Amino acid sequence: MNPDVLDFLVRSAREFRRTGWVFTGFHWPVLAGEVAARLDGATPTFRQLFEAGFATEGPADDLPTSTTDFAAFGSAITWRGSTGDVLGTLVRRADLVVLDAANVDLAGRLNSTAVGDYRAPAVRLPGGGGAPDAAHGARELLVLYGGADPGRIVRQVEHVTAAPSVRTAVRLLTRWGTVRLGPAPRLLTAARDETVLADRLRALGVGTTGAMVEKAPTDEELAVAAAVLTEAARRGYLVAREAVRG
Amino acid sequence: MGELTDAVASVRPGDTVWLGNFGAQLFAVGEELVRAGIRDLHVVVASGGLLLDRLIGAGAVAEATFAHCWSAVGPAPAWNFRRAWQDGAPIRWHELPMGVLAAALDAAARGVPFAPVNVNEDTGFATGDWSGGMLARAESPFGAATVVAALPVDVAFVHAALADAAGDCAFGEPSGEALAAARAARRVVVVAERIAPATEVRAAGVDLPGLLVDTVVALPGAVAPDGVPGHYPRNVEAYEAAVAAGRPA
Repeated sequence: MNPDVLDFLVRSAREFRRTGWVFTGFHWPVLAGEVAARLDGATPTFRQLFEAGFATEGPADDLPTSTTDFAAFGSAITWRGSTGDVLGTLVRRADLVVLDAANVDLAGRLNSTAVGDYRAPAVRLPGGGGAPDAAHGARELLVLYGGADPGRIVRQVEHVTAAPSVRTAVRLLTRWGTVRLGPAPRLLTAARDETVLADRLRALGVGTTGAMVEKAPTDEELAVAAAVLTEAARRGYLVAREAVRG
Repeated sequence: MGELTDAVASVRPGDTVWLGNFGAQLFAVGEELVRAGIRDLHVVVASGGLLLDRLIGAGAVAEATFAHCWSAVGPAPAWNFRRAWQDGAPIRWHELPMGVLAAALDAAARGVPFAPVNVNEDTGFATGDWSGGMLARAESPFGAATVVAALPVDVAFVHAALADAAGDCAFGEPSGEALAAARAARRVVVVAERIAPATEVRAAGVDLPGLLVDTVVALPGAVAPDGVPGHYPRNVEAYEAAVAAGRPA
């Protein structure tokens, strides 16, 4: 199993466990939330909100294939409402919003719309779903980039699908470390192969000195993350299948 | 009570059709729309997924209002959707943030022409015309706001786990934008996994009152390969097969 991905998943999960209410977006955030919930065990430290209009506490009954796999969330669901409830109002009360990003810039803006001209794209991406509402309403936004290409971090994304408000604190968590995004971006923490991220940030004119070294994952954290990744591979997550292959 | 074929046959070319639900997509309705050869539809579906993708691939869509479109399992591209954009298919697109789309339905339900919404001014929704004319700025004595046009629906197909003879429904899942769509629609067709006694539906919790429901169709497995809590799980293999079928050679 890819140790960089395991480490990334553990550090992402830690973010869930320090807060009360977390809005969880598609993809990596679902897996990180599940790792965190399993590590919590019988004493949950957080609840999750989802754009389809529901909340959960604790681990899912089966690993959800996405944020809309209600049958898999099962008994973890504590409240059912609507998309309007969550994206219109509740997300603004969340302590933390966690979103996945394939393309992110130094201001914390995300592109999940297109590569190339909007009306005639070279590659049409899926679109933002509820991420535009969630990012704009967030008090604190954590962006997860789980890939291996530091070039996905750019000075300015080609299209802005989702963007934080001026009052939003934004961080980007990658397999190489964590970056503060926004008006004064800088490297906050260093993890595995931290020079990959530092080199990319320096190329973008971002300060990289004074970064803290992140605490290494515990054996328990690694075991739970490995179990979730293994299940995720079975449940169709393409990134997990790649990680499990090593 | 009714049959799905009759409910779908009542859809006319040019109709605005909302297809539910978020995470429990009525693939059976989509297949019947394709089988019946109904085209030129305005399809409204916040989480487009493989259902919108299937209708695009079948040539049934003239206009689409959506927030995203992909396979939730994987996740993986919705290939017909992607090709339609990249090849310049003659579809009128209205791309909105999901919460804004829900507000557009809610405005139609309330009978008002627009609703104020939160749209980040940095995004393409504000700086470009991704919404296809659905967003504007409005001034009022109370302040200025971005507004979204009301989105009335001709027919809403709503999924429920249980429905009773009077049309009261228990979704058994989060409602997404289903309630807003049902309220915004001239006609509501509920497709239920099972018809149940009123006492059972009430015990499960009535999400949609029969007041809003015109037709109830009983159809177990209506959202497969999506899942329904307490009925059947999401089918990962079927999702993957559907994506593979649409993938370019």
